[in-house]
Amino acid sequence: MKTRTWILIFVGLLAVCLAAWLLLPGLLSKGSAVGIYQDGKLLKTVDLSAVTGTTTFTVTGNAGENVIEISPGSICVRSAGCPDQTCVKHGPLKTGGTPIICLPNRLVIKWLDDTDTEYDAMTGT
Amino acid sequence: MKKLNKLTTTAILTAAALVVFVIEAQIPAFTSIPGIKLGLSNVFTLFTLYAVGVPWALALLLIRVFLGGLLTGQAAAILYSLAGGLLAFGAMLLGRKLLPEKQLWVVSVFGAIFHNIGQLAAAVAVTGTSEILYYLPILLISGILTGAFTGLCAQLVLRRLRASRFLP
Amino acid sequence: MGKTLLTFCLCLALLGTLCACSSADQKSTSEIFAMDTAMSLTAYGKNGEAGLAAAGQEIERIDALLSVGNADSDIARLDSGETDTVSEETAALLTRALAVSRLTDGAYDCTVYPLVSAWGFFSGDYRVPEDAEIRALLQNVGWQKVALDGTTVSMPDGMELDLGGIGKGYASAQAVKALRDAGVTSAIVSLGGNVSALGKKPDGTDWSVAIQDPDDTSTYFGLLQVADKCVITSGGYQRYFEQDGKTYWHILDPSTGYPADSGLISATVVSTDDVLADGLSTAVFVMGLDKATALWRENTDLFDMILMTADRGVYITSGLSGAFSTNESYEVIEP
Repeated sequence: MKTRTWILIFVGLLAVCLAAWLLLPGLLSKGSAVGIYQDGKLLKTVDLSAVTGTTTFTVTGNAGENVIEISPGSICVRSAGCPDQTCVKHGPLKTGGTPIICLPNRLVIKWLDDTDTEYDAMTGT
Repeated sequence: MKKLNKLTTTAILTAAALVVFVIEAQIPAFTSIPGIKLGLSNVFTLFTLYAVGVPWALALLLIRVFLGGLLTGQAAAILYSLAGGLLAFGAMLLGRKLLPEKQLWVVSVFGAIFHNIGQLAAAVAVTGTSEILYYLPILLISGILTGAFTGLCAQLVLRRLRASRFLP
Repeated sequence: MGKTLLTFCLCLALLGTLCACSSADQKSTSEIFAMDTAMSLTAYGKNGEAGLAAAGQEIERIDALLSVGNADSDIARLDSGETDTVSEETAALLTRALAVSRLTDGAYDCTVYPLVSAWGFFSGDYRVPEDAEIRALLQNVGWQKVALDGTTVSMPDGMELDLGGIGKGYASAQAVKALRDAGVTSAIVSLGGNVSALGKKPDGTDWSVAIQDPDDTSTYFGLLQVADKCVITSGGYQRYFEQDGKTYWHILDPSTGYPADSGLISATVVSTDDVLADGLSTAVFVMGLDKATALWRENTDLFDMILMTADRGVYITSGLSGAFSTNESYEVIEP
């Protein structure tokens, strides 16, 4: 192939990448990776912006099952076997909000990228 | 080139590659993946591939990846560097076979492209998140540009050296 | 000779640049499950990992030491009557618990365990005990009846101790100490919502601690800037149950045996003394705005506080003005 052809190919590729780089932020929000932990260990990571349908993920512990519902852009605990139901009451995980925690089952659901919250820690439970 | 010459030449180029690598590492990282860099030190791998020989270039690459990771205090990045480096090496090997020396810069661009792809693929595999692919466009842009630059450098130096009979 | 020297200097210069660049901002984190709650620790700098490991070990050690649920712990064996001697560490902590009980005139009382248990807050089997049952249980509540002589504890039969009210404070203090001993100068830990900060953030600014909003626990009502202090909040909203239209929470008033009803929905204590702050946050919630203000005025050097009343009135003590920001309107309590 002639050198000129290669130059054209690469310039084209550059243009495509530039376009992608400029458009992608609109489609993909940065803080959309969520981690599901049990006993401090990461069980699963979910990229909420890449989720297309609604699925469930069940975690079992000492206090029964937590049925976690994962839908596009949102994650919450649908049902739980523990008496408090704090995790269900929490509702969906919100940006800049608290993690979803089920203490009896040692379950924690939180954003993986929490470097852009306005605070370093929150008191309370 | 005689074997001893190959050895000493490669040794010097490896040292040079390490220096460039470490200096380049001072530039603050702009992605959350450890070890993503401009890739300027690849000029030495490329040059060695054409001027000295395949196994020597591979040795240079491996030493640069391991020692470079240790020297920059980013041992975690070694995995990604290795993935990217080896993939790039394969691409450059193929490119060298298929393309003439005057299109060495094209080989370099492919090397850079595959280096980035390799690093990203390793990062995705390790973290299990596909969010990282978000960085592919910008990495490809920097890869193509630095690949072309280093490729041209290597190409021009090689041409001069061959013309002055320093190299065959 | 000159050339050799020059080359040597060049080599030194190169060697200098080869040394890894600043790692002071390197962030390490760890998540632990201990003391029945989720704990999150963050440390900066090259000693971060080592510091976190040491801190984690300390927390787990203290958990085992103090847990009423762990049959081998000092406290459990004391409460079951198996022994009346405890370790020096437990004795020291008990001394502090009794001191805080005295300071708050019993608003924090380390002997409320049987009472809280009866309400079902530990087991999860929530229930509202009968008046008679509560009065009977109150007979065995009263920090004044505990006597500590060295490592020997004497208390009436039927009385049970639980240092859980200051346990997390002790754990956070020890965790921070472990981090400091490991050479960490910038760290923040959150032990189930008990926040304790070591130093400042790597960029030299204070840590930002959000105070959870009692009416919407997914957000906060104020931000506090702190360095080298702990921030501990107590609130009924943290653990409660509803029965017959009434809400009952886990912070009981030791003098009545019923959930504390002092008009506060959130009490936050800020101090350099984690153990004190932990006990005080519970006590202040029980005491209410007026009594807490009086207590603070006698101890302005020891702690500061942020209170929210049921009608969402926010009150902060003067030591915090300048460090607290909020969208609510608030009053500053002067000494």
